[in-house]
Amino acid sequence: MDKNQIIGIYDHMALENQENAKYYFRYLLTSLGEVDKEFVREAYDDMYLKAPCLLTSAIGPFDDGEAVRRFAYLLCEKLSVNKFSLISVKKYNEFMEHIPPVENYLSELFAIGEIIENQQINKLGIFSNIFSSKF
Amino acid sequence: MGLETPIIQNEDSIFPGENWFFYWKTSASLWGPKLRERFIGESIIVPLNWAFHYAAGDTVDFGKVRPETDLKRLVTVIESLGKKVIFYLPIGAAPYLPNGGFPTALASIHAINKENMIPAVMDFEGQLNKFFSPFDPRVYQSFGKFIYHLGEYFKNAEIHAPVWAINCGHFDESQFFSYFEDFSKGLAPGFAQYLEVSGEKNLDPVKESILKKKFQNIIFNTYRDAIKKYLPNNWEGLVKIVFLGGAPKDFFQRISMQDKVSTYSQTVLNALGKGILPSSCLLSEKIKRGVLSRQLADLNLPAFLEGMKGDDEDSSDGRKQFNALAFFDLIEPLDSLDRPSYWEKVGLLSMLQEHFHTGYRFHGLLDYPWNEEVSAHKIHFFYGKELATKELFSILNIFMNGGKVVLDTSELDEALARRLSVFILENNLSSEKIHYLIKIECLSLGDEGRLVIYNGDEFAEKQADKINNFWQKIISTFDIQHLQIEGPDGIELFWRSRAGLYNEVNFEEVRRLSLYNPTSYKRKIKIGLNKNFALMKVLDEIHVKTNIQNSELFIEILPEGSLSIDFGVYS
Repeated sequence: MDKNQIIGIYDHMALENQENAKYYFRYLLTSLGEVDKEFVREAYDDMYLKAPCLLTSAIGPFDDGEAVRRFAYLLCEKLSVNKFSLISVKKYNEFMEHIPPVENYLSELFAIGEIIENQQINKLGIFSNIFSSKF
Repeated sequence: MGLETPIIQNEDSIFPGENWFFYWKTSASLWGPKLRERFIGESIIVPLNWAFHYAAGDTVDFGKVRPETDLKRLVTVIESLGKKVIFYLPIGAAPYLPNGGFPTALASIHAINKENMIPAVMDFEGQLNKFFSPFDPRVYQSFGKFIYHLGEYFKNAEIHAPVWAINCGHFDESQFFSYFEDFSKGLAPGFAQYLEVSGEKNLDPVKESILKKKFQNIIFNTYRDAIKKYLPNNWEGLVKIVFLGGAPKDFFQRISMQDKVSTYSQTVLNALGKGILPSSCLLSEKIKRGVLSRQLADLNLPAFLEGMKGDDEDSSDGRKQFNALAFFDLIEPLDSLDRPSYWEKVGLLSMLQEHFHTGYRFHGLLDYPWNEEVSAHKIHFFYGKELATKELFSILNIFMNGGKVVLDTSELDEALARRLSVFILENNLSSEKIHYLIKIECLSLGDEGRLVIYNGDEFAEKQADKINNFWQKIISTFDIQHLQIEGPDGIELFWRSRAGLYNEVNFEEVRRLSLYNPTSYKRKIKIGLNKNFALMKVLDEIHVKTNIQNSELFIEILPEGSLSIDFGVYS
C-alpha cells in the first residue's frame, strides 16, 4: 500500500447502552500501522465540534454513510494523503475468507474498498505534495 | 496433509519461545540432537497439534504412518535427556497453527470475533493464521474422537506426562479475550437449541449477549470435560495463555511491520496479575530480543505453572526460589462474563496497580482453592454476585481462621445477607461501623482475623479520586509492608519473593524487584528505603545507573535497560 493512503474498516452497530445502531470505524490504517489517535480526534472535533469515542475498534459515532465519507475526506486533508479506502466489515470478511497473501495484504485490502480521493492534494504540484506530507 | 518427511526449518520454528517445542516442524530423528543442543530448562512444553495427527475419516496417527506423530518416542527422547514433558492441549483455536490448529477438512465456518470480523493472527514466520468456529458440530464431535483416541494411546503407551488444557487468547485494554469466543453462524444452531431448552424468549440485545456468553462457556466446558474424562491420569488443569502480538489490533500493526514491543512488555506483567501465562510464540526472535526476552526469562514460567496447579507455594522447597509476589486475591464470579472486572468498576484495581503493581491475583469463584490453608499475608476480596450459602460460609471460615477478607455485599442474595448478620450476632464478634465515603463495617478476630464489609453500590456517583483514597485507607489498615516507587511511568515492574536462606538469618523474606524500560526514552526512578527493608544487592544491570542518597535509591534506566534489586525484609 502506498504511504499516502488510508484504509478505514467500518461497521454499523450499537455500543453497550445505545439504543440505535450507528456507524463506527473499527480500524483506521496506514502503511505504518494505525492512524494516530490525535489526528482522529482533531478531524472528528472539526466535523462535530465534540470529542469522539475512541475505544479500540469503535471510533465514532457517525449518523450515516455520508458522514462516514465526509470524515474520511477530512482525515485525508488532515494527513495530506491522496486516497482513502472505505471498507465495510462485511466486505472485509469476504476478503478474509480467501487467504490473502501477507506480502501484499494491505494493498489488496485497499483495492476492495470504496475509494475517496483527496481532490485538494491532487491539485497540488509534486513539491507541495512532498512538503505537506506528514508521513 | 502430505505424508513426506517434514522439511527441516530454522531453529526458531522448532523452538518458538518459553521452552515450547514444535515437534511437527522437524524430523523425529532430529528431536534428540536438537533438544540436547538448545534446551537448558527442566521442563519442555509440547503443544499437541490435533491437525498433525488427524487423518481422513476422523482417524488419528500416533506413529503408525509418520514417525513425527509418535508421541511415545518423543516422551522417551525428552526423558532420556533428564527433562520433564508437559503437554498442552488447546481448546478452540491455537494461534500459532494454520487454521488455528483445526484439521483442514473441518475448517469450514470462519469464526467471527467481538468486532464482527474474521479473526486472524500473524505467526513468528509471518504466516497468516485464520480461526474457525469451535461451535461447528463437526468440529467438536471430531475433537471428542481425537481426545478419546489420544486417551487410549496414552494409556496403552504408558505416557504419564501431565496434560494441561490451554485456553488461548489475547489482551484488549488489559482484559483477556479467548479465541474460543465466536459469534459466527457456527454458533447459531446450538444457541437456538439452548434458548429453546432454557425457555428464553423475546430477548433484548443485552440479555442475548449474556446468554450467548453463557452458552459459549457451556460448550467450552464440554471440551474441557472431554479432556478430563479421556485423559484422567494425565489431566493437570486448565490454564489461560495470552499470546503477545495476538490481538486484532496487533494483527494490523504487525502486518505493517510495526510491532509495539512496549505493549507486549506491559501485557506480560498484566497477564501474570490475572493468573494468565504470557507466551511470545507468535513473535520472531528479532522482536523478542532485548528487554522483552529478559523479562520473559526472569518470570520463571514453569514455577508459575506449578503454582496454577495449586501446589503449596509456602512449602519449604517452593519458598527457596523466587515466586511472584501477591498481596491480594480478587475473586470474581464467572470471569469470562464480567468485563471489565468488577474490581475495576469499583476502582480497586487501578489503586492496586498504582501502588502494588502486579501484586494481585484474579480468581474465578468456581476455581477458588477454598480448602487450602489460609495465607495470613493475603487479603481476599469477594463480592455478592453468585455467592451461594456454601461460598459465604467458606468466606467466613477464612476470616474465622485468621484470614483477612473484604466482602462487598453488592448483589448479595437477601437470605444470605440475613445469614451474614446472624453470623455476626451469634459469634459475638466485635464490630465497628464507620462512615468514610460509604458505610463500612469492620470485624476483628484475635490479632489476625479481619473482615471488612461494605456495599459497592454506594460508590455510584462518587468521584474517582475519592474512591481511590477510600481504597488506600482500607488497604493501609492491613499494615502491608511494601516499598513505594516514584516515577515508574513507562517502566515495567515485577516483584518476586522468597524466604530468607540459612545465611540470611537477619531477613524473614527476600524481595526481588525487576525493572524494565521497554520505551525509547531514559527513565528516572526513586525508591525510598523505609524501615523493615534493607538493600541487599543490585544485579543484572543493563544500561542503568544507580546511586543511594539519604536512604533513597535513585535509578536511571536507558532505553532497553533493565535491572533487578534484592531487598531483605525484617520485622
